[in-house]
Amino acid sequence: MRAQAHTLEGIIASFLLITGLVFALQATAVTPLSASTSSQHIENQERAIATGVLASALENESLHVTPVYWDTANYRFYDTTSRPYYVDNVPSALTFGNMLERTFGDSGIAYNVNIVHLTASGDERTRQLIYRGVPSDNAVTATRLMTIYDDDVLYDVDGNPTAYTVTQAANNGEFYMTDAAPNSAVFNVVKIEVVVWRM
Amino acid sequence: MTERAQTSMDFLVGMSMFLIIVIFVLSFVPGLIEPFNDSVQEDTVTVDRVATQLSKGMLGSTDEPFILDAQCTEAFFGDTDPGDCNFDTGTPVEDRFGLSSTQQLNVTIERDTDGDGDREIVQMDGAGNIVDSGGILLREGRNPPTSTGSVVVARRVVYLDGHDVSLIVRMW
Repeated sequence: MRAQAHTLEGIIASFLLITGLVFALQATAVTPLSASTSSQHIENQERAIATGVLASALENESLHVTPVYWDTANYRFYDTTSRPYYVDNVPSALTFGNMLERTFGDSGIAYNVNIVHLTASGDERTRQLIYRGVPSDNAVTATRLMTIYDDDVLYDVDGNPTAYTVTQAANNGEFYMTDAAPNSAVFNVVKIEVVVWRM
Repeated sequence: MTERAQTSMDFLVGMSMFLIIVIFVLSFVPGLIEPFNDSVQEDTVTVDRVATQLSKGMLGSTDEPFILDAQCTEAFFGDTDPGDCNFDTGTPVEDRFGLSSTQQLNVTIERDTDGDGDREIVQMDGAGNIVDSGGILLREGRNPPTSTGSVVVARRVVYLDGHDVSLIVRMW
């Protein structure tokens, strides 16, 4: 009887210590095991950088080219190979893609670019432009809205405007967007969405 | 048979278990409180504020965040008369952001000019244009220490004179 008391005492003492530790863990809001403020800092940085790239692209007008850099003959973005989106080789004429690559590509940060557009019934459709994989739980998103008008034109493979308007292409079924507002000069409103995460 | 059973065996089991747990708890607790005695936390928030302030207003206008004004940028980094920009020059860079005296700041604008994958500090000619050499170096503040790991960095991508450049703020 006296002997088992030693074992029992050891177990009870250990149990008390573990209980104390668990209590301390629950009492603290921030532990090394929880999502800490330093990873929050990184997420803030990534979002701010992506927003900056979008603002810069809007300023040098490369963002306007992005949704209409469309190969009507093959019904895909120019120079996409086996998949309908770019994976690693963004063409040099797509300036926005190159700006993203300059900013994130060499820092080990992955990004997706989605183009969210409207249908005539008001639903949202997403088309992937650049796809690097499934974003992690810590991914952040930056978006920018852009209006496309009925008389906006599509761009050729070198990034120069053609004479073919988005309306003509949509009427011929050669464009991924449709006229969301048929009775106005507005063709569609697209949301350019950049999803950024650390690999 | 005595009543005392295997005293030494039971004592060994109980004691070793107790000791293992004590060692585990002692090694775990310092890690638990580490986030609280880390003074870098404060700098992390401040460096983010400085970068936001610079990119969203000070060097440009609040109507167009991330688009920098070339004249204001030159005045900020060249310490010349700022005109109607949103800051004063002639004071240490820390004072322009109201930082405490223990915090030190370094602000640069960088860009990969020669395409080798590394960013160089951008130079401007004093008339609002980015030049490759011989201009004003867009760098303000002291050089960050290389011997310590406690320098926190915030980065923004901004638009300056037709180029997308990186605004980098370091604080320690």
